[in-house]
Amino acid sequence: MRVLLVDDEQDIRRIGQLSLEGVGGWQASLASSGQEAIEAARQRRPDLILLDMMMPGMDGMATLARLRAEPDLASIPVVFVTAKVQRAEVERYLQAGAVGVIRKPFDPMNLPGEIRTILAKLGITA
Amino acid sequence: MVPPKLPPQEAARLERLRSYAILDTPPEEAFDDLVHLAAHVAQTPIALISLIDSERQWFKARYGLAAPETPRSVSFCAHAILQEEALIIEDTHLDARFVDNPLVTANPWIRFYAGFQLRSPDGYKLGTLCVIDRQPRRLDAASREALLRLARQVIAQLELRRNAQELRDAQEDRAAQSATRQAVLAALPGLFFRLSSSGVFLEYHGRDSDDLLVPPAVFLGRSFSEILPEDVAKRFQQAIRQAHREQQVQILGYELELQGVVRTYEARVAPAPQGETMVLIHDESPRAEAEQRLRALSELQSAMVRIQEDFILNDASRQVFNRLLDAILKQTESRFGFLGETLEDEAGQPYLRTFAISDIAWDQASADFYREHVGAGLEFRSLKTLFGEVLTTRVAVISNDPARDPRSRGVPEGHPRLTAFLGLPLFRGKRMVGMIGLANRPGGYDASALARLEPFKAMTANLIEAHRAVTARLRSEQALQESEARIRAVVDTATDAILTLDETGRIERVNPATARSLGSDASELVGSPIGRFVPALEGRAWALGRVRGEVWVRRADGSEFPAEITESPLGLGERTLTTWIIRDITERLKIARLQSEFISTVSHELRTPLTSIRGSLGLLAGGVLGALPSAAQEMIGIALNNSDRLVRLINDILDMEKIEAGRMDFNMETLELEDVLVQALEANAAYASAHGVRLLLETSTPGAVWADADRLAQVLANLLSNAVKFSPEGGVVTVRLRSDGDGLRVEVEDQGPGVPEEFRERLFERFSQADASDTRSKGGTGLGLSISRALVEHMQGQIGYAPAPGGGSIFFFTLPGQRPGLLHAPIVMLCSTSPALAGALGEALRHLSCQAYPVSRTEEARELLSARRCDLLLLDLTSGEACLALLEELRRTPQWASIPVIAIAGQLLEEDTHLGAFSLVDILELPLNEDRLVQAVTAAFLTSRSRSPRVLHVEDDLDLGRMMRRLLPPSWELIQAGSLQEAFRQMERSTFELILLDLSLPDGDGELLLDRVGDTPVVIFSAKDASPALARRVHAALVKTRTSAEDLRGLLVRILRRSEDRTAPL
Repeated sequence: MRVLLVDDEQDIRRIGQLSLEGVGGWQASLASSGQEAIEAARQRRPDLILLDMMMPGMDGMATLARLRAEPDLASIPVVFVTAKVQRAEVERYLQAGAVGVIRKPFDPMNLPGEIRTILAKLGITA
Repeated sequence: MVPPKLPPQEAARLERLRSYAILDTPPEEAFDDLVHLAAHVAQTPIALISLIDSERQWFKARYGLAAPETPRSVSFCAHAILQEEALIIEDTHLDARFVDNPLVTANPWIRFYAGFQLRSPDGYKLGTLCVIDRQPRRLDAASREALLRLARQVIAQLELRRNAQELRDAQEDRAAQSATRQAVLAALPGLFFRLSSSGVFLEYHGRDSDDLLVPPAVFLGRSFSEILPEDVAKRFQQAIRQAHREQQVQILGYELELQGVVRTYEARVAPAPQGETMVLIHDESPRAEAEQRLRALSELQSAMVRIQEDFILNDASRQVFNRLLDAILKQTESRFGFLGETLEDEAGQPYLRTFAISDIAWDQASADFYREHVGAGLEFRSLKTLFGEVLTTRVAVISNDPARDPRSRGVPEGHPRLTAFLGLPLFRGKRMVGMIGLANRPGGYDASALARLEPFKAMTANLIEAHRAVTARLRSEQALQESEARIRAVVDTATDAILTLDETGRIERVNPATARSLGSDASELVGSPIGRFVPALEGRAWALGRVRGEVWVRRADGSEFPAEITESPLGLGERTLTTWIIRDITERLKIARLQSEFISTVSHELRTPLTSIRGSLGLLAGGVLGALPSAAQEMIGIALNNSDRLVRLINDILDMEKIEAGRMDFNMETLELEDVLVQALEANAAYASAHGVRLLLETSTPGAVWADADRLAQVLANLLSNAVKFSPEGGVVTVRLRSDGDGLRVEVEDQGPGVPEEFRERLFERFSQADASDTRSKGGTGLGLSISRALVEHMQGQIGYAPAPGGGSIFFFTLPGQRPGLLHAPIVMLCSTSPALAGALGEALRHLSCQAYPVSRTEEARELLSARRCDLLLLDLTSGEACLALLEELRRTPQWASIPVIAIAGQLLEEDTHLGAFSLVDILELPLNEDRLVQAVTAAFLTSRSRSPRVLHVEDDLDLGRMMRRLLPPSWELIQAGSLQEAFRQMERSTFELILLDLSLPDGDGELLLDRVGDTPVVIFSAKDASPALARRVHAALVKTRTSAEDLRGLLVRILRRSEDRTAPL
């Protein structure tokens, strides 16, 4: 499975990459902003996008909206990975079309497991 | 017009009137003053003293009217003298007797008339003192009373005038007779002296030699200039000379003091042959006294008039009493005196407080004392005195030798010597109200002095009473004014807009803040309907309770601001006004938003670096980056544990913050508790097994609770992790589910050391841990139990601790449960084709703890209605004809006919009145007002009741009582009881559907009530925590500071809905 991890923090991109590749055994690509994420998605057509919410410039919600606006990208499942997880915020993500939310700080040893649980609900086996 | 009848005994009345010789006399100042005063008192343009003659009314005094008289046939006053009470005609146009009276239909255009009869002392009504206005009006009681007094003064003046006339007549008579008298002088008996030409007494004879100052033997042969005082002798000398010169009798009046009494003599000096003189001396004292008496009486009358005028003109000050005292001193020829009221001290002993007292200061100290205290009234409490004798015996006291009187204990040193004393108690009915004290009349006091005081007694007593009443009224008026001023100051300076609305919702009064916040002048606001400023009220009839809580308020310029409106009815006589306080909450909402943003941002900012730390450590510890040396592995483990703890701490602090700020939201729903427990055990199984602890679930009663699944899971995770942490390795944590009254109870029991007795009280407080070292060894945050308690209580439950029989701990919590078929979240079906409307309604219904089922087609609705129960149907009639058809079908179908329906209409039109046929709970107009929706839904669940629910609120805090009245739906009857006893009385009198109970009551613990409530649900709402044992006995126990108004209302609504379910299942 090809996963695109979008986060403006380099440390978190690195940890995420190690987790997705080392623990999940998946193929991870990285983007540091919403703009980069759109570009990367267009080029690589990932199976899943992990999206940070709070990013300078285009934030997670805006990025998701842009993804949803492009027919070729609209169907890629998006999971938010964010520290902003108040109940109302989570509801907003889901309403906007995210398939799941993973709370920061995440446990890198368990991140792939959490992703699998979310995808399983959509009938996707990763 | 009805001409006046003649009064009975008219002939005698006319004779009495004429006896005053007043008719057709010129104006007199005394009477003019009285009509002037009357017009002033009544505030009328016209006042008259009208005397009813046989064919006319004649005005002795006129104010504001030119005519000197009018025919009796058109006289108002001629009507007035036919009755006892004053004749008051507030509007002549409404009185058949006068409507066409020429004095009404032409000049002076009388519209208002009030006539006060002038009653002669023997009861004849001679006429009236009347006041007249050219516009209708009323006369208040005070003016009426004043006019009545003035009418009495008119009579007093008439009487006085007649006395004066008699006196004048007498003098005239005397002058006419003087010539005759002179002729017979010599023959008159009396003291007769013959003097030689050199003034030597040659002869004397008299009836009573006792009248002489010196024995005849002493003065015979001596000159009168040796015998008489110098000034008198000189006048005699002149009179004698003049008599001889003019050969006429000279009359000489003089006074001599005889045995301490001044007597008046009249000497007639007649020339005799050979230069001799004959002198006849007549003791004039009796007549002089009578004249003096008459003069004094006249002075007294005028003093009384003055005093009463003073009093009528509201100068009820000490001046009145000073004047009265002066008049009394003069009347009784007393040197000193006082007037005062009698009071009683705490011990019931009478004492005296003076209103007026002669200045008898005899040295500097007493003068200072007098000056300082006389204004406020001097108080005299010593009863062993002559005045004390009056106070205690309540009878008049006369003492003409006070120094030796056993009733007196003497006077202070330096006090002027008392030579005589008279004390007279004053009564009103049988009540002694005051006394008059007089001293040092030359010659002392006797019964005649008492007689002279007679005219003052009633008047003084009345004045004292009136003064007391006026003082009391002034005092209460002043208190009222002060409190009004205080309130006005608060209202005027309040930053909140405060308005008074009339019965129709129009603005009647506003404070300055209203003008500021609505952006309009007070003058423009007054009279405007409040709906102009509150969009939610627009186009709707005004009624109390239509607007509450947070609404938008529109300024005059059309801009709007969020506001919180507090409404309270204001009973004002027969009117029921409404007071509104509009608080601009723009700032508050902004702060709340900022607070929420802050929480969110902090949480993000703290978690981001932690994500890196926690992630790096996790990868290292997980071995993803290769194996580590065991010491490094150990250190990484420590770092990982502590970063986890830091994450938990941040989460807990943020939760706590949200709870305290009231920003924690709860999605309440019906949950199968057993399912929740199974999930919780699964979620915490890994943690337990890591500690070598087994989790065990024992359930005996499956059942549902009304709770928020996530918050419940949070509570369970906390209790389970605590239990696991404190369990010995290999221990078992048992989770039990059992029924608990109406609800369910979950217990988590461990085999750990238990909680030390002394710590149990503080167990649920923040950052409280039995052993400070626990924080580190057990990795807790110190917030878990505190958060759990807040969460459980928010879900209307209770949390507590009990020691386990085996020595471990049992943590338990209860939740309001529901037995199948009885308790359920109300199922509300929404039928609308508009997703936006359905969304908004669904949201609102969820807040009301209802389960909402939106359907967009009527077929769907029918399907759903057949498949499951429906407690309420919200029908959007703007969705098309099909909805109306559904409504018709619903009402035709027996099993659906009783489902309450709330209709939603675009704009309510005339033709929509046919909707009345469908017995709708309510019709809501678009745009939807959420408050209205809440009221309608609440009402829907209560409509099947035969009467509105009655709630007994046992609470001694009145503010809270009022708050509760605003909080609960207006249709509910809320009965307040401020004490246990009052609550018992109310419970004996009637039944209640719900009792809301405070534990700390002035006459005992609220718990005592529980033995008598029977099946009535009780909710404890108290400042202190209810003990778990107590909590089990009631429906719910809430703590005031930890319960929001919305939660409380929600709970009460649910309880009442539930108790209704039992009696009348939907």
